[in-house]
Amino acid sequence: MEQRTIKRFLKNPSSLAGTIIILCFILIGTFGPWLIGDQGLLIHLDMELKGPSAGRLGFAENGVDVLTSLIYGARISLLIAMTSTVISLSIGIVYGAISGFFGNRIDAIMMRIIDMLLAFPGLLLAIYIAAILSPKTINVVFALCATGWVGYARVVRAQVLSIKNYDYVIAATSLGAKTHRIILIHIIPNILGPIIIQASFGLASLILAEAALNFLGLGVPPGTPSWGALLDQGVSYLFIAPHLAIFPGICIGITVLGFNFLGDGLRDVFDVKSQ
Amino acid sequence: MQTGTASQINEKLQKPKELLQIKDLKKHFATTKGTFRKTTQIVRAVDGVTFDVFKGETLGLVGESGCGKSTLGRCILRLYEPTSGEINFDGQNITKLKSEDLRVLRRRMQIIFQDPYASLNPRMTVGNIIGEALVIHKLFTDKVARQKRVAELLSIVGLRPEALFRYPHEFSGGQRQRIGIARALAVDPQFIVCDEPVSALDVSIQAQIVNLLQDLQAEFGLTYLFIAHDLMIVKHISTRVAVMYLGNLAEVAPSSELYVDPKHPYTRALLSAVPVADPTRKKSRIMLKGEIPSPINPPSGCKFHPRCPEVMKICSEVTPPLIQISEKRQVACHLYVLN
Repeated sequence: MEQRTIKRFLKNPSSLAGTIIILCFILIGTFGPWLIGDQGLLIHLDMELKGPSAGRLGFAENGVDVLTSLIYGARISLLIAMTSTVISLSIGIVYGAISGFFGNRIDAIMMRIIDMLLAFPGLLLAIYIAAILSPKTINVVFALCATGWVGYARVVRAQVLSIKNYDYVIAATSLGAKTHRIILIHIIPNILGPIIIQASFGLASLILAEAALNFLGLGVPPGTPSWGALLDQGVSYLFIAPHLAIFPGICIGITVLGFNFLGDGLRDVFDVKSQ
Repeated sequence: MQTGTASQINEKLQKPKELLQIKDLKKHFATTKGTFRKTTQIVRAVDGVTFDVFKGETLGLVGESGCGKSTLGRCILRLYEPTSGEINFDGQNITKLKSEDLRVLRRRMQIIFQDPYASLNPRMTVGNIIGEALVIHKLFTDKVARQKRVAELLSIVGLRPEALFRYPHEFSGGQRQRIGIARALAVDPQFIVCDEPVSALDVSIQAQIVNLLQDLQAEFGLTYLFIAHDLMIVKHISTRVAVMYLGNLAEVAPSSELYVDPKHPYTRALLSAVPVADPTRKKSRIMLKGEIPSPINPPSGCKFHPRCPEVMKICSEVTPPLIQISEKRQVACHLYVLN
């Protein structure tokens, strides 16, 4: 099944396109800054706010090279999105699995807590948290996780509820398996499909949320070139140097599109009925 | 030698020993509603069942879908918590056993499932599925020894040892059922609940699996509770048969007698519905009125009375107890209380 899944994944145009786009950005974010070297970081005061020319995407205020900032930005934006997703996912899986597996009163209480969190618009809560904390990259991750895990917890719970009554789970119980063994070996591996799909959509929305936080000036510390922060800086010069806002916008757009393609593709790949 | 055979004969002459005694077992499911989990309805899936299973025998348990057969089987294994009643296994009351004692007990009783596609974890290799019990109970700590034991189990159920590293989807329904049987055998159980083990299989495969179960019983001295709705398979495999209707036992009898001379009107109706492969024989099918009632709101008195062709006035008022009508037969019907 594993091999068939991989084969279907590679044959699906949507998941393939998504993977290529995201891989490109990850490679750029990982190796880009190292390739540019110190040259790219030079400040060209004479070129301040100059538009794109051959091989360059123009310069920002103080003569900072836009292309260099975007490459550093890819690293920071993707890192924030991925770290937040991994943390949210871990919390979500543990919370959802406990709630779904034990059911009854525990489930009722845990789900009411989630309902309360969902009553706030997610981004608003993130803005609130980011506003009270100091502007640090780690705090952005924290603000995004604070609301991000809720969605995963709900998906995991729903999946656990449906799978915990499968015969192979009951068989494990009748063999004398302990609860943690049943959850870790028999339930979690069998619900990974929907969770991975959710995570790829989640990554897209986290990139947007991170950009939104930075755009509102509540994100990474000043001077850190995340895409959202670059967009924020560009807005002030929208009429005299539109390239400052356009290029980070394009980067955000393409990455989000890439993750959404991946999510769509994964959904088709994991959905047996769509074959 | 002489004394050995004599004592064996003696043992056979002696009354068979009970391995399992069920006393007035009930399992009610409550459907809840709202945040405060208010009970709205009670499903009486198993509603006071009493019977014994003797060592080495196969007790067939038959009844329509939804009559509580599977629930009863799972309650016995403590996979569901019984609402009330008592389960004695080999002289030990297991109704209230707590986690650690229960885990020890799990080695002695096992279950085989109906659906061979849902009963095996799709992400585990066959070797890991069968070997899991050995890991849980720390029977073989050495990996090589464990693999050897799993290969041995595979050959016992008629599969090749190569199956060890394959995944369940690579096998057919019948083969998967064999894997499920090997998993149950891994812990050396004394008692196995076979929860409709052949209902989901092709007719040709059904015979193979039933024969395998019989061979295993002879080889390992197993005791079966064989749940099914196919009366002919039950006749073939069972020593005794219990007929269940809407959470209660209607009749318990040796298989040889039940099929020849059914006592309870429900048993008669069930048996008359079995197709006979003889076109010249005249069918006298007893048609039951109406549908099987809901276990949420079962009829008063005898639960079978609204559909019974021989219903009497007393039937809707008094619940007939399961009474002994001959040495080996029990029936719950007012027709026999009167006599």
